[in-house]
Amino acid sequence: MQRFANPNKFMAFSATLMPWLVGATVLFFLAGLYSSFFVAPPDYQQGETVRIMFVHVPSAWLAMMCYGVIALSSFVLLVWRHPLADVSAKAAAPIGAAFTLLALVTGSLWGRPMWGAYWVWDARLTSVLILFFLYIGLIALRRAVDDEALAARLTAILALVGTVILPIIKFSVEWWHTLHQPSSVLKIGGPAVHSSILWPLLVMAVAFICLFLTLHLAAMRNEILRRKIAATRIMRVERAAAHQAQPAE
Amino acid sequence: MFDLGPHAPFIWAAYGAAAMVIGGLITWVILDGRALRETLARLESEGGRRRPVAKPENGN
Repeated sequence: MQRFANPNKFMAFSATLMPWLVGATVLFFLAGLYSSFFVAPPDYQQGETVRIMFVHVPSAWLAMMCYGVIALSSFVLLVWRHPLADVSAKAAAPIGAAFTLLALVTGSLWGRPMWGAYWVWDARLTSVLILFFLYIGLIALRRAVDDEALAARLTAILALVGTVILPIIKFSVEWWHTLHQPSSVLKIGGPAVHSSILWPLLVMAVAFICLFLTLHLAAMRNEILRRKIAATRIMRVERAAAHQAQPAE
Repeated sequence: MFDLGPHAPFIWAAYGAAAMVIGGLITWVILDGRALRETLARLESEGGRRRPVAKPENGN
């Protein structure tokens, strides 16, 4: 991991990796969308609305996975002070917020025809909404603090405290009686979904993960550039100040 | 287009929302990256020009 601690090495490595990730994302999305609309049959209970699951479930998984990435990066920042850990955490927050929002919106659009309501204060839905607010809180806290190093530490601590929401989301459907159905893919004893629906779902999940990796890498590259610009500006101001402080000959 | 039954508007709306969110993220990353690269290039070129300009003033 320390091998990529140098931002220049990371920029070179990520530039090589990026076209492959973009290619994989496009391929998996094409395969995923084709199988979602043309291969997967209508569900015997949900009918055609099962197709919403092919975007809703991967979005919900990514919402949690992205928070896991932020928590891991925050831990690495606080313990080892890896230079790219904060870059990773900062870059992942808006992406995680966007996927959480997408999970909430697509869930609502599935809930209206299936449950008869866009929203219910169910434990799963409410805990995912809290996750969304947590993402917004991370972004807002970072913007509120001018000192970059202090902002990084504060958001890392908030992110680590916030990890408590992940098991609550995961087990909410078991701990409480919820309208949201229990886990049907990631469960002990194997998936309870028929392979004709499971496979398109897994292909879409891989597509979403590839998309996340691409966006995260690109956002990290942008963040490194942003910090390079800030460092260049500070260096120039310091150079100008030093130049003015020099006694005229 | 294929028949998605009576709930088709909800299905299309879900995929439309996904397209908007994903498209928005991609656009944000691309435009942000472009703006940052332009700013960095401008700073580096300004820095390169200013040093030789500053020298004569220094020498006086």
